[in-house]
Amino acid sequence: MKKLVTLLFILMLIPGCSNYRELNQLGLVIAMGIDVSKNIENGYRVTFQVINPSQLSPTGATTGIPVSNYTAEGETLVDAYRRASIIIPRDNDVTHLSLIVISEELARKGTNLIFDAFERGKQAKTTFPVFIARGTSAENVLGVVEPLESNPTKSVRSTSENNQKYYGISKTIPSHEVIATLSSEGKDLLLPGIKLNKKLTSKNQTDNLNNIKPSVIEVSGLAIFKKDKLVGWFDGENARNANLILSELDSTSFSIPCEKKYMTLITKRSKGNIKTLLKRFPTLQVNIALNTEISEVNCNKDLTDTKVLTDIENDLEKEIIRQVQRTIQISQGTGTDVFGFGSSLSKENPRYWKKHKKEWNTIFSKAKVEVKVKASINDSGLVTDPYEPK
Amino acid sequence: MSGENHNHIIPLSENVEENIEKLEMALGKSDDLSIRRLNVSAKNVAIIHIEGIVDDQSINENVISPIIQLNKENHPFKSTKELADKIVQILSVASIEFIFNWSDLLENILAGDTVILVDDSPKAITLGTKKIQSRSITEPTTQTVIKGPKDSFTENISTNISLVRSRIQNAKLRLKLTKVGNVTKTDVGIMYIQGNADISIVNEVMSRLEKINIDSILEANYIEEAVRDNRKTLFPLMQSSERPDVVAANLLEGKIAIIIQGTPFVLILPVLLIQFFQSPEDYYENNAFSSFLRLIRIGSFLLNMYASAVYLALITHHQGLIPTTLMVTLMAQRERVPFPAIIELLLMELAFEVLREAGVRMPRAIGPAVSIVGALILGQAAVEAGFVSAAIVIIVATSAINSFTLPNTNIVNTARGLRFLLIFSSAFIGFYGILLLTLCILVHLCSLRSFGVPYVAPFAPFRMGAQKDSLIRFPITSINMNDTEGNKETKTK
Repeated sequence: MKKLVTLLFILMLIPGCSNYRELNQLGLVIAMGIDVSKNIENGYRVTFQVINPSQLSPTGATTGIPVSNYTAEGETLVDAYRRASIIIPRDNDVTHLSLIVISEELARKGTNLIFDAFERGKQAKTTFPVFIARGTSAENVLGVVEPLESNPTKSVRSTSENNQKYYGISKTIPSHEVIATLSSEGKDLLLPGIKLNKKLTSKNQTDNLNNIKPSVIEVSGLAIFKKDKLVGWFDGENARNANLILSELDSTSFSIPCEKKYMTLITKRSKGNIKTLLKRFPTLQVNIALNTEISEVNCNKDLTDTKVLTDIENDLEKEIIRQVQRTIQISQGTGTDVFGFGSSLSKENPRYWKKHKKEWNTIFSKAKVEVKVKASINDSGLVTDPYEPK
Repeated sequence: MSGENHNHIIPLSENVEENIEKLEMALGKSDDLSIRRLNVSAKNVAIIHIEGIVDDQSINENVISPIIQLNKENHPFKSTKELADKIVQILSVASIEFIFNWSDLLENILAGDTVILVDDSPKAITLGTKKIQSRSITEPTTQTVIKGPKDSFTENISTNISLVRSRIQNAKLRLKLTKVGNVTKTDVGIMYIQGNADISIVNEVMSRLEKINIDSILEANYIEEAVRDNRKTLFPLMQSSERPDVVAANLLEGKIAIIIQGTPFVLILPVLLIQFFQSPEDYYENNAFSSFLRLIRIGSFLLNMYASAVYLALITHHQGLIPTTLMVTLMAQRERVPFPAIIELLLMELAFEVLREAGVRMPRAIGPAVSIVGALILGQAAVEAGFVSAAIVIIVATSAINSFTLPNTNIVNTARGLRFLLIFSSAFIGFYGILLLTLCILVHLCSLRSFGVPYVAPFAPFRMGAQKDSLIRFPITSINMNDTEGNKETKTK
């Protein structure tokens, strides 16, 4: 017994200082926006979004804005974080950090080793997603509370997630994946872009909450990176196609022409597969298979006829091939291999890869592209033929 | 055990009046000492008993009236011995003994026997006329079940023994009676089944009972504290039950029961930790369902012990482990709370302990008042007034509700004690502290023995066969009762 007590006492002393912190002394940093510093050369201007818990109480009616943004500048992120204490009244806690927004300006200059602090830090997690503030500053993007969501961080994440579910432009890339892609060979980085759909009309934040057409977060394409520098964008369909090639698409919709109007098919399941074939020169091969469902037909077609359905499938395949080829061309135009054709080649043909990896981007830009699509229609909805106005 | 050894050697006087006088002196002329003097064949006969602990009707009909009848018949007796023998023959009482010394005379009278003294006879006749007032058999109050027997033990040892005997009608059921307590001389019975119970444990129990040197035994806990293996532990090393079916089932598993006069709680030993999570109802319901409930009880026990400590560790040391949305809610609640989390938690825990104690102690009539005060003041009003956060109330209430699922209150008290220790270590160094203390508890558990049987058997030491009735219960036909008992532990040692 005495031995046990002694042992317990010693073990209690081993951990040293306790990190006892009361909840009402904490400032919960849920998002960080990183911009180029205006005053410090090569420094950062960092916006910390801190939760104001009393505005989010489950019972009390909220009267104000649930978050506060604090902006500080510093040579490094940690420097800015420490310097932010001149304005933040509470003990910062970054364990709940759930969003990083980097401004396009900074991304074009190069992100360098911006994620080092998150990997090195003992508290921070590296599971939060990274977004690029397109054509604006991260500070601005984080500065708007929209009516449907409780705070800007949640707006960004839920808008992005909802888009992934319905159309597939955006994607959620956690920071550890960003670090992994940046430090790997043969694959370049794609990061989702966000912006505000329109400028705030009033200086008063709460006016936005009372506006029927509020200023909200909009997902806007995928940023194409060459190493750590932003060099271009995939927009709309192209961003969606990029996700289709990478097999990261939940569901999307394709519209194909039919008798001067259109019909829309939504995908239920899709699988993209890339391969780099080496026949004298590397050929980029993309195989896509998808299951679709006819969900809107604005022309007269006999959908009970299997031949008609086969025709639609063929039309859809041609349309997708056209779109995917255009998307890859954009990638080839910027000379960045965001799909990982290089990585695929390095696994299948390591000797060739070793010899040519330095000039891979040029080889990639000139490589021939082969796209194969297998689309099948599984369902035509609750009716067969569309109704006919008489 | 007898403190008055000098009385052993004092024989009874042959003069009845002399004896009576001495007896009155010994009992301080107690007013409930009843002496009936008769004259049979010119010999003085005295019938002596203490009122209230004897069967009056039986004495009147079966003792006094035959002797009066004998007097009327006017037998000529040649000697005193002949008279005494005749008296013994005409009495219709089941148990008759002869005693020769003072110590036995006093003991028997105090135990409720009736003593007949006859002039010129060196021996007294004692008649077993003991009848102690006791309440009738009622439903158990502390260990209730939905389905199963509804009888419970009473304060009367012979009733209790009969309740067990009626369940196990077997020649191998053994009973050994002894008296414990220097002053109270309480009847204590040890019951076991020959062949099932480990005889060395029975002997060990007997010898520990004989070594008890305290004045009084008023409840089972007096014995429990006097004979348990480890006096420093918070864990119960004996099980107490007021249910005859539980005692019978344990006897059949090879356990030993100690039945004590004056309390409806019967001690069962040796005991294993897992037994405190087993309800008699487990065997009266479908085994799949019982197994589920048994797991629920174990979960409840752990929640009861750990809920508060884990919550405290999370909100004061490991905020990163709470989901963000919940974290924000908790922060919002704690925003206007004036006390540190540990103080807040201790306040609520103590408030609950007070309420619980008040609930046990208060008169029935004001029960509703206490529950209103408890629920409204401590729950709702305290939160609304900003004294404590709602989450703390939820945590304390959860841990309290969980303590009520356990069929045995002994282990609940253990959990109550450990809960406070865990809260302190959690406030000090978070999960690390909780883990350290848990480790210590586990080491301690493994070191415990109940009458030589490892406390955490059949897990440590592990025995596959006994797993059929530990965490979960297999169908009764597939459980080998002899394999589940503690006595095997000592045999394998």
